[in-house]
Amino acid sequence: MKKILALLLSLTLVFSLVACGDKETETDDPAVFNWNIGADPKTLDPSLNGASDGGDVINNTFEGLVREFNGEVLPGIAESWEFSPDGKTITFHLRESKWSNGDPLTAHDFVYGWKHGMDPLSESEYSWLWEYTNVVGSFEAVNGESLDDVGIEATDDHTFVVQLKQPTDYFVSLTAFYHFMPLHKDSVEAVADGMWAKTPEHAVSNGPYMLTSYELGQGLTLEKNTNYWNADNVHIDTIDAKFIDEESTAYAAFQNGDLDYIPDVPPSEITRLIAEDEQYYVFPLLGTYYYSFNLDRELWQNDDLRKAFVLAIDREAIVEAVGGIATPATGVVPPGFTDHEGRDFYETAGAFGIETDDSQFDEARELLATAGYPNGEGFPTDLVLIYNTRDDHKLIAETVQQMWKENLGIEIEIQNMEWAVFQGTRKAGDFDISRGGWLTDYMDPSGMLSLFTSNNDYNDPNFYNDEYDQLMEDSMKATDKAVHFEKLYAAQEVFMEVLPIVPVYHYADDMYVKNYVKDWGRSVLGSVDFSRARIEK
Amino acid sequence: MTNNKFEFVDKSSKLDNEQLRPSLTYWQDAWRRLRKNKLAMFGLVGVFVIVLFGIFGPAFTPYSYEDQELDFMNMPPKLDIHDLGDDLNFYLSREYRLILLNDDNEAVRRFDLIDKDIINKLYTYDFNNNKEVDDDDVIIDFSYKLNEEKRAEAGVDFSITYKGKEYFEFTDTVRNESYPWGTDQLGRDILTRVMYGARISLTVALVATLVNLLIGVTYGSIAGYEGGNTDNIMMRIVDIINSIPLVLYVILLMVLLNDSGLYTIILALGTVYWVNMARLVRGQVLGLKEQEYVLAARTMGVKKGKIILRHLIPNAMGPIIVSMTMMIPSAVFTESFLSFIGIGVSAPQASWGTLANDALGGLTSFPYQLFFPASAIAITMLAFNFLGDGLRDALDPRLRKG
Amino acid sequence: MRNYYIKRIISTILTLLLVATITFILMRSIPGGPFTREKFIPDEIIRILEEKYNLNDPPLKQYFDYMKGLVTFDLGPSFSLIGFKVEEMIASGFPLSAKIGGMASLLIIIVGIPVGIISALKQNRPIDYFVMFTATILVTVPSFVIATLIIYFFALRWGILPTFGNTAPLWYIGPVIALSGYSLSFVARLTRSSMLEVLRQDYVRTARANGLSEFKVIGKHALKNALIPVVTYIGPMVAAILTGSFVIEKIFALPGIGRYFVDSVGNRDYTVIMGMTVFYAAFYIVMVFIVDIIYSLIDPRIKIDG
Repeated sequence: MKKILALLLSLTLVFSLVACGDKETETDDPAVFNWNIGADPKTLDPSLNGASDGGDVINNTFEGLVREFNGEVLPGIAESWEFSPDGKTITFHLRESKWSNGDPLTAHDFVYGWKHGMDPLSESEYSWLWEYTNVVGSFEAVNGESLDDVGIEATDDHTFVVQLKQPTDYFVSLTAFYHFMPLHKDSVEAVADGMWAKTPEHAVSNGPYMLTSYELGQGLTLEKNTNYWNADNVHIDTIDAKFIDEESTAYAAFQNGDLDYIPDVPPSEITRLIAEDEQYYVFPLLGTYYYSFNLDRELWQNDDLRKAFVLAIDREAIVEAVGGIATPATGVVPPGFTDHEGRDFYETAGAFGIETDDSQFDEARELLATAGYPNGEGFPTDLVLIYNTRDDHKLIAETVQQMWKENLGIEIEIQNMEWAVFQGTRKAGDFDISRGGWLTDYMDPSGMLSLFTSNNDYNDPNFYNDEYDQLMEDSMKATDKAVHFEKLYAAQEVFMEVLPIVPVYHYADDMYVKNYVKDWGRSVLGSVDFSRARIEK
Repeated sequence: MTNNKFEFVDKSSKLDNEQLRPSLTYWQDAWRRLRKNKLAMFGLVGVFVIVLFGIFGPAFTPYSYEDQELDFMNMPPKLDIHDLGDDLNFYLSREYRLILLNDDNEAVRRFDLIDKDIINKLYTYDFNNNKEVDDDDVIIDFSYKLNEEKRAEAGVDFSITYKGKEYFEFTDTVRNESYPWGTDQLGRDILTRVMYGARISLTVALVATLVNLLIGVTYGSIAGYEGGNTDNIMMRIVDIINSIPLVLYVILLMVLLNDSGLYTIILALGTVYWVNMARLVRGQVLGLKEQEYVLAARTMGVKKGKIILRHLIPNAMGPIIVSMTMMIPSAVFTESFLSFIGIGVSAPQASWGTLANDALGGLTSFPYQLFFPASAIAITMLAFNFLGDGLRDALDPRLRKG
Repeated sequence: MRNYYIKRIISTILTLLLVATITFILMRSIPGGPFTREKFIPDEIIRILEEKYNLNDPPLKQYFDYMKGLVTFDLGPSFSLIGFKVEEMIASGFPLSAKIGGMASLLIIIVGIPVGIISALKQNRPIDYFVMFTATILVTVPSFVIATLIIYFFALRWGILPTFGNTAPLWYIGPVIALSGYSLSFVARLTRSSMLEVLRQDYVRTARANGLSEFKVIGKHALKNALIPVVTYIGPMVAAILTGSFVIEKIFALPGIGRYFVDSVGNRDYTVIMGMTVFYAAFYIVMVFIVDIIYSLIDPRIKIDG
């Protein structure tokens, strides 16, 4: 008897757990667009979001004053806008439009949405962005000052006026960014912590699509928003989005036809796909991958030494090792920014005497000798390069370590750290060399260059240079575009003269999209746009 | 009874007439029986070979585990070559890198890609290394691969044009003599890396297993034998150790030791891994201690320690050894799991688990990068398992003959 | 006997409290916090966040507050998935993890044990070699490799199984196999070895000598003793498998709870770390308890109340 009992006990245990039900999922509609977002976005509330996966969704569920499509700034909810003569006031004229639930959308919804984003009580992690908007009183509001003093106003239902501290060239294009959406007040206040945006009954939006379901960790569904002002030009009825963060699984699903769009592919497939598959797309991403020298360390005060380290790596080889889609970097500012004369900032700035290939190794060795370490003799042997754990960071660190060893005769140790540990260590300046990377948040080179001003939190190399700070400040204050860019060019010159970092490459963004998906777009800052996409099978 | 009634034997004539063969100690006997077991010997030889492979192997390759040759990255062990006459043998990689081989099929150098015509799918390689496009260059046309009609007609994926002549098929498949097991994504020799990987993986596995055996068996047998409250408390401690998240613990150790390497992982596994063994042994002992022979020993006043060591543990040897041999793969896997989530041994060192993990992303294009480290793990595990099975039989006191 | 159960329940609760306490201390001793971000959050907002989640209280108060919540099954809000409570996350992910884990456990038990017994009874015959060889092969490949290979061959190459999406029954095959591989072969080998051990015992010999049928000898006398180590292993194994696997869930893109065990640590999502640890610990301790009861049921001589 007892024996049977024992058997039963162990079996029921297993069975009772097997019997737990699972959720029903609808059958596939052949007209749907199957999209892999990647990870499960932390939030879908535009004012709270700070991540690209959430931004991708928001870019399709919401629409700001303008919409940026493949770099082109188009009227969005604002039909037109004009600047005051001093460039400090912008008046947006809004079109008649509706929320997805049919409520009229007014300029007050923009005021609410923007102020909601800067209100510290909303706990938006991304609210620091207001510092760069130059909107009067906005960054003060983020730091606890009154929201009433912020220079945004709805003078009537269809007029939205923004006061800026100084003329800001990139401001209009910035309003396409996911942080600057209008919000439907009743919905936002219905559920705490931005959960309204993940709850279909409260997720009222104004973009081409609206959220109709959300499953934690699994996926979400977007459907065409018939109340969208431009709904006639929205061709997809349903977007079935998944959260598959394993690249190779998503890649297999794409090859099998289960997904129509995946945000990246396994790195080892890249070179082949570039050559063979027109469904594979590569775009420059406005950012730079680099290593910071810790200038607080006595060792790195030596100019020749730093330069030797900078010249002793073959950037083209590194780029090739990580797939070959990135651009070898010789400076801070990546390609993609246009200056006052319409030239590409990156190209105009030049390479600062740094070659991207292996041609400067001899020069590096000479510099090392001048620095007092001929062939690496006498150089400390306990130097550590730190990076946060990730496959590509590891690969790059390994290559750089090997190049310094071969070309300079210097052996350094590379150490990976778990993300939060790394962040703390780097912030505390407790390193010799550290990995760094930055993507700009707005369309101006200062989005990259301001990183290295003395009081910037992200100035990892601890680069303190009065001339640089002055140039950056002058460029930000300049009302004349030409002066603005002149100062930025000069600042980068100063920076690259000192070389507090080893520029490695400028990022690239890749995606794999079925060829029957047409007219999808992408913003310059990297958010995908399906507002006009069509499926032509 | 007086002494003279006895006949004393001389000390030197200790040999008994009945003793027909030399006496064997327990271990000699075990060894004798182990030797008879073919599979076990196969396992033993296997373990021996793998250990030698790890210790001495690297001395026989011209590379170190960290030597990179970026020009020769992702070269498989077997190369499809194109013979373009004039003793020119080329290997064209899956990533369209053109590599010159010498007569011995060793990689000599790579040709720079000087012109990339993406639209017409024509890649031009600088053959004479003058950095200019001229007649002496090699042109690869892989528009065939994308154009179904063209492909069906020609029956090839791509063609190679050299000095005006178009070559269609590769002429031969040869062994990669520079890198017999191919290279990884940074052009490092996989054979060498697998050899070095053996050192790391085996060290982790052996240390974890030894600790496991020592602590786990002692702890488990004491808990099981003592029973009652002692058992209860001891087993609750095991529950606690088992429930605390390993990841948290490893990260803390890494921060405390300021080391994200081998020692941290060994320490972490060593301190945590014995709990399963302890539970297993305790379960066995709980049953065994009620057996008649233990009762008999206890009645005769044999000390606890001796009962455990002499009676209980030998009788639980089967599950212990099975568990131990399974612990070795388990430790190797846990180490590779830690590298999967990013807290494994520091680069450029690599364990087998790391090597396998690094190869996963490229599985479709470079399956050999996964094959070799995964096979190394598999062969090692097989060898340890066969050896373990044999050891169990050999150490079983009941099977001991004369 | 009743005394024993009461004692055991009390010690279970104490164990859980200790697990929670140690995890709490460990978690707070590692660097970083729940608001560590690539781009720093403004100080004012950090202040508000910390106030909201009571992270600016003295650690001891936070600890007691947490314990109070734990007792009332309030595991607190997640820091990384804004707006979700830990119990909601568990409720959402556990059914799937448990379903796959349950199938894997079942597979392990109904295949592993019989195979081990057969192998032991036919020791050193071809079937034994075949079974043990297969079992060893299964255990020699890490689960992340098995999982990737299943997707590569079965889904991508041959198109037999879907790549993701737990809608088709077929789809479960991949995760279940990848999840059960190692334990399945462990159980088979353990059963075999333990069975061999028992078959040599005097009482088995006596039973045979008494002329009992082989079926009775095996089924009645040998099996129950042979199962002790197997049950010891299976108990905690079931707890571990049902609470999901990080690797399997990541590779097969499953919305289970297994990934929270690892992700929460990376995010320093304190409440999720605590919630998952306590959840798993409770599961595990109950399984161990059941194992102890099964011991005494299998072998009446084992007195679990000591």
